[in-house]
Amino acid sequence: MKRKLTISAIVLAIVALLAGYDAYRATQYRIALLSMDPQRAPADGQSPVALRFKVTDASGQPAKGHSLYALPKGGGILSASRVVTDEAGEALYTYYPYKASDLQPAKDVQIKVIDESNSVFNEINAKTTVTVPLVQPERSAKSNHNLDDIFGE
Amino acid sequence: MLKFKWQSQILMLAASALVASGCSGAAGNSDATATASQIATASQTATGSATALPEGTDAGPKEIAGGRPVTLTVDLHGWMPTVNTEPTAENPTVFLSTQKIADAFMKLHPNVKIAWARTKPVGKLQNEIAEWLTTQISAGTAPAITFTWGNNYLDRDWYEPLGDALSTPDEYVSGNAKWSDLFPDYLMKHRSLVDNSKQPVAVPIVLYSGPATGYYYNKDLFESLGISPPKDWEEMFTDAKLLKEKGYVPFAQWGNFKQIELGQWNQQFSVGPFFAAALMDKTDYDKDGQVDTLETLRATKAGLFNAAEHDYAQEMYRQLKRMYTELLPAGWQNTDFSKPWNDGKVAMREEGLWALQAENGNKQRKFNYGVIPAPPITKSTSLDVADVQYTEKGPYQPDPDLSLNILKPIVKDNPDLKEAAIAFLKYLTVPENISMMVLEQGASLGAVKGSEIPPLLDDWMNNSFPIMPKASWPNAFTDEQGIALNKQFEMWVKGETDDAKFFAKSNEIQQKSADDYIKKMNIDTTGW
Repeated sequence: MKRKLTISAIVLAIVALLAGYDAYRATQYRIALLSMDPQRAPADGQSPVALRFKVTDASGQPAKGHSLYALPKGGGILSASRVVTDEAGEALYTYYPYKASDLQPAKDVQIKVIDESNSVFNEINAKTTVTVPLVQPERSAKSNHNLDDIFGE
Repeated sequence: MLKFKWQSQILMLAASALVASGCSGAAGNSDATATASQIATASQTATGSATALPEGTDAGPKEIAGGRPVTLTVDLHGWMPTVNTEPTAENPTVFLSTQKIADAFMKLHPNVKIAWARTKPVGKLQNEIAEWLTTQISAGTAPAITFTWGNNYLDRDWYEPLGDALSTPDEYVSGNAKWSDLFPDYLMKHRSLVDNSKQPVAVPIVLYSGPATGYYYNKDLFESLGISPPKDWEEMFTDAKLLKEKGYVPFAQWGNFKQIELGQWNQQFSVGPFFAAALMDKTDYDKDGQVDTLETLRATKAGLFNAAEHDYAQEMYRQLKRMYTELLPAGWQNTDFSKPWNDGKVAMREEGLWALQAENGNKQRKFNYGVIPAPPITKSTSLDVADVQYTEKGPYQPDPDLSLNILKPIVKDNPDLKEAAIAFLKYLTVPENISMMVLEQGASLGAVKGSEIPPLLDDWMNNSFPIMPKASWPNAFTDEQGIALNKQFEMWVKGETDDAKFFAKSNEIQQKSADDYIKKMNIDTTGW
């Protein structure tokens, strides 16, 4: 019994140590939103929003080659959910809002960005969340493609 | 490096506990894993509070079933709303449009309760779905609205005819004279959506954004080797030879294909239609530009697909055999290619276009990937195939991805349920509702005029696409003979029987299946 407890304690200590290491590493990186264009996006289902993020280390130096993973909360879709930072530590995301309607009125969307690369043992990551303000579109936006052509009509 | 992902493991343990205790399990656009007790009412997972008809609606809905309570069980296959309503890194797929649509419908019709058929084994093969439906129909618990790949189970007499309903107005769309007017003409007579009398038995909801399936390929690998992804069937084998020499798995079949069988995607999309198209001057008896089931049956009885007699039929089978003998790696039947794919060891992987969003979110993949249409067979392989036509840009008259039937055995003695099912299908096909679905999913097209095209498809639709012939190469017409034909094909591929025996046997089985089908469906063959 005592031996089991000892082993369990050792395992827990190791897990805590590894988690602590990753938690420490997570504090060593920072994800910041550099730009969002446009600042207020029409919820028309077509117009893209460009979001540029920058990852820096504890000394403020750009973190190159970090894999960022993003999730929109509240609707809409990203052209890619994972983007790798460039030489300048920057990553560009393209977000497409949903189309506002009576069933889903325009409202702000949260985009959560996680730095997957700073976690070694556990999933404890540096992260940030930004708000994309969505507004009711003034005019409808259409795709570059025509459904009638596709239908052959 | 070994990562001890304790957070994920705790979540998995928690999820397992929930499933074990019979609570709602995870469901998504892929495999649903709920248990029999998990046909949850739509309102249990509601997140939106839609309160009004879509913009432009003024016709106004009629009261359903005289206001009597109706519970409508609905199967939207891969388009059912997810149980999880917030994306997380562990479970990033969230799909809620259909929930919002159902909520709005229930708000309009408070006496109708929509329940999702979450026990359906979504992601399984057609014979497994047939088994599930058979059990559910026997028990009277099958969903009134369901997905069965259009008219795939026509011989089972499961489908409620929808021609009359499609001739009535869709009350949820302003100024609509006939529900069928919402759809492009080609879909109303699509060979996968009509019965043998050419009456619609399935309503198209969304379409593939081109071909139904594609080859997902390792872009980085192809670039590093200085080769292009294959444009036709022959190029695929050329690429495969080099890839094999370099130590890669050149090609992996769709994950659910684990047996040597006919009718798999290589036959459906790369080989069969192009051999069948070369025969269309003979098989398209009514000259309407497509070869439907009855015409295929008639051509079979006329011996046009007889491999014992025709070299072109033998060549069709030989090309299907090639995939097993030249392309697939040893041990493919017992291999899960997910990890080798993520690790960059698999050059090309067959997958549905519906998996685009999931692949975009695949955190395990270590390279950039691209998607190409399944490469068609051309005259560079065989002179027996029709010339492949290509669009200048974008797909042309793509096939239905999601089409929905009303199950006759479930509604035949329940007019209230039938009325509710038709009303919900009409509501689902309001262009704004279809737009909401395709914009959220991102990789499909709406089946109704005026629906939106997802912006994520912009680049994809700039490609030129092979135009799929509206004809296919038949196997057997009944399940029983289908099993027998597959067995013969497997023996032939494994070298357990010779060419002559296989070709003779395949014809014998095909003829028997055609006779059985004609008898079962009471088909009038006068004039054949």
